[in-house]
Amino acid sequence: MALSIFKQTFSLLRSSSLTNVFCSSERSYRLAAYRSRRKFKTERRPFHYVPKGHPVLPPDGKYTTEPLTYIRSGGRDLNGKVVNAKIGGGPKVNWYMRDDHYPEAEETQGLEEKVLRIHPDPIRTAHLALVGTGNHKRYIIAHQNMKEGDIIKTNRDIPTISVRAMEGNSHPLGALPMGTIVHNIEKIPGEGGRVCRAGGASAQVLRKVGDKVILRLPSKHEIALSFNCMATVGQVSNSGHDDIPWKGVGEKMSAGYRPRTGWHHRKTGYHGKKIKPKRTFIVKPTPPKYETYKLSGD
Amino acid sequence: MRITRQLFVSRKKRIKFLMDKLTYKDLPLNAPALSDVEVVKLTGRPEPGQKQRKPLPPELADDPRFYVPPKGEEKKNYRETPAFLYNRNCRFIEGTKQACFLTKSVRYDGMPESVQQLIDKFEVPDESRLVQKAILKSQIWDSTREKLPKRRDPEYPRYKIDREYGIPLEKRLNMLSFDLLRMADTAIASQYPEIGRSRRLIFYPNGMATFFKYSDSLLSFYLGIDAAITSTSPLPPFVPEELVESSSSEAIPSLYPISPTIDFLKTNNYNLKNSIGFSEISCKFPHTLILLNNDDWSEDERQARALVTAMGLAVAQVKKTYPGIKDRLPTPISVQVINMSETTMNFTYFQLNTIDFDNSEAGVKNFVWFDTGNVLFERRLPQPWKRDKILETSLENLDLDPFKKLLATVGNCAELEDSSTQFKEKLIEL
Repeated sequence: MALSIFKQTFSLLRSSSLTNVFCSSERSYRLAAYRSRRKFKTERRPFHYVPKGHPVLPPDGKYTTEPLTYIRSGGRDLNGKVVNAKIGGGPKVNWYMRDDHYPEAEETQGLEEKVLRIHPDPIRTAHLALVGTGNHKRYIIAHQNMKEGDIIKTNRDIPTISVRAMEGNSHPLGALPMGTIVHNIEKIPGEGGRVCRAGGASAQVLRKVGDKVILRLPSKHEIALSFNCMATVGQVSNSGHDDIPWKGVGEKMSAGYRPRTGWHHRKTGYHGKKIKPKRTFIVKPTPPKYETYKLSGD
Repeated sequence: MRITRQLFVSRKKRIKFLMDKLTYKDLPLNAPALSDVEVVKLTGRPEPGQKQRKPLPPELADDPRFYVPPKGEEKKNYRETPAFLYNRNCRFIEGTKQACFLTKSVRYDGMPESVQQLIDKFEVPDESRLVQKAILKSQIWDSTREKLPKRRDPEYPRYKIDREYGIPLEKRLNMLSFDLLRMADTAIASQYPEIGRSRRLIFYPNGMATFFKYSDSLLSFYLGIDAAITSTSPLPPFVPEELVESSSSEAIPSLYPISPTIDFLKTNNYNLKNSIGFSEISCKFPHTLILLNNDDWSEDERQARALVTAMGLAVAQVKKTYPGIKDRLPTPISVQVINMSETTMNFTYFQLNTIDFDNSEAGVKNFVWFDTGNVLFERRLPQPWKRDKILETSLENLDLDPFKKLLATVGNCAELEDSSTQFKEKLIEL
C-alpha cells in the first residue's frame, strides 16, 4: 500500500493531474485536483474530501456482470496520512458495475428487457436488478415494486400527447405527463443517470415551460432540464433503510464508521434548525456562447 | 514582483509553479504564423485500454521479468467472426427452460417407461449395509485431514466459525460415486456376465467437442465429463416412432427478450473441433455419462448442464456417422446422464431426433426426461452457537430408492449387449 502511494505522489509531481483517484463525478474530481494543487500538505480537517474506497476495474474497460473487489481507503489520502478519522474498517464486499446509461432504442418500437434476478447491493442503499436482452446482460437500479419476470421498455420518442407512465419504463422527460414520479434522471442528454439513485429517492415532474421541464428534487429544490433527458418511472427500492436506527457503536464500527464526539466541535451553518424557506425558481434565458479557439504549443 | 517570488522558492516548487502557470503568453517568440498552426484536440486522461508500452532496449527484450503477453488479435486463435463458447462453468440463468429451447426438446418429468420397469430387476445382497459402508467410508472413516474452506451459516452470518479440518469435497464425491458404480456393475454382471467384454468404464475422458450454426452465429461446445460408460451396441430409443412424428405439433415455451446463448462467452479467439473422445475401434457408442457436481449450483442449473452435454455428445456422433445431414435422423440416438452431488442424485434421459435447432416451432422435436431431487441421505453441519445440541456433523434419513434407480439406468439394455449372442447369430447366418 505504501509503495503504491509513493508512486502516485511521484507521478503527481511530474504530471500535474490526479490520475489514480476514483471520484463519483467530474465535479468532485475537479475539486480534489484543485485542492491538491493549492496545498502540498494535507491536514486533518472536515473539508478534506476522501472517498470511502474504490473498486478494481478490469483492464479492458468493458462492462462485466462479475463481482469486483472493493478496496477501502481507511480515511487515508494519496500521501498515506489520515485525513478523515471517521472512516475505517468494515467488511469485505463485492462491487458490481451498475449501468446507469440508457441504451439506444429503435423508433416507435423501443427496446424490451426482462428482469432476471433481484438482490441487495452490499455497498449501495438501492437494490440491484439483473436485466437481459438478446445476448447482453447488465445491472440496473431496481424500483419499488419490481418482481422477477417483469418486462421493461425504453423509448426515445417524444410524441405530442403524453405517454401513459408505467412503472419501470424509461422515457424522455418531454413525453411524461405532469405529476409523474421519476428516478435516475439525466442532466445532460446522453450522459447517463445522475439524480435520484439512492434508496427510496424520487423526483416529481411539475410543469413544462417552453423547451424545458421543471422537476422537484428530494431536497425540495427545483431544476429545469431539457426535453431529451431520459428518466425511469417509479421510486427507487429499499425506501425504509433510514428508519431503522443503529443498535450501538459496535454495529457502526463493523460497518466502517469510526466514532466521534459531539463535544468541543466547531459549528457551521449546517448545524441547527432550518427555518428559512427555499428560494423561488425562475427560468432564465441562456446567454449566448462565444466560440473559443485553442492552440497547442510546442 | 514575479522575480522576488521565484528567489525565495525551492527549485522543485519553482518548476511546478511555472509548469502549472504555462499559458499561451509563455510561448517562444519565434512562433509560427496562424495559417501554419493546426488545431489539435487536447488529450485528457488516457482511457483504460489505450496505454502504450514503451519499447524496451534490445538487452532486456528477452527478459522474462518484462514479458508482455500478446493481445487477442496477435494470438494464433484469432478469427474475424466471433463465436459463442460453452464450457462446464456456464451457468444458465433460466435453467432447464433455456436448455430445452436451445436443444428444441419437449420436457417430461420422471423416468421413461422402459427404464421404470427395470427398477426391481437387479438386486444387491445386503443392500443397505453396503450403501451405508460406502457413505461412512467417504464421510468419516477416511484418514485425510486437510484444511476445509471457511464456512458461514445463513442462519447466523455474523458468527465466525472456527477453522475445520477433514475430507475435501472432491474426494468425498469421487469415493462415494465410484463405490456405488462398482456395486451396480457387480449386480448387473451377476445376471449378464458378458458385460465385461461389451462395456467400458472410462474415468475423466477428454477431447469431447462439437460446433454448429445457430441463427447466424457459431456455437462451439467443449464438454467436461467425469466418467463415461460406453458399449458396443447403441441404446435403442425410449419411445416408438409414432410419438416422434406426433411431436411436431407440440410447442416449446419461448423466452422472448432473451436468446439461449446469453450465458455463452463471446470471443474472437477460438478453435473448432468435432470429436467423441472414445476410441472408434471398440465400445464406440455412449451409454451413460456421469457428472460430479463440485459447485453450489441449484438442481435446475445442474440438470441444464447435463442436458447440454448429452446433446453435444450426440451431435458429435451424428456428424461422424451421417456427415452432411441437416434435418431428421433415420434412427434416433439416446443418451443417459447421471448427476451426482454429495447427497442428491439427478437423472436425465435425452433422445435426439433432429439436428435442425433453428426452427423452434416447425418440425420434429427431441425428448427429455428429468428426474430431480433424489436424496440419499441428509448431512447436518455443526452450529456451535446452539450449545449442547449440534456440535458434530450428523448423517440422517437414509433412502435406498435413488440407488435402485441408479441400478436401473446402468443396467438399461444389458441383454442386447450380450456379445456371445451376436457372435452366435453371425455363425448361424453363415
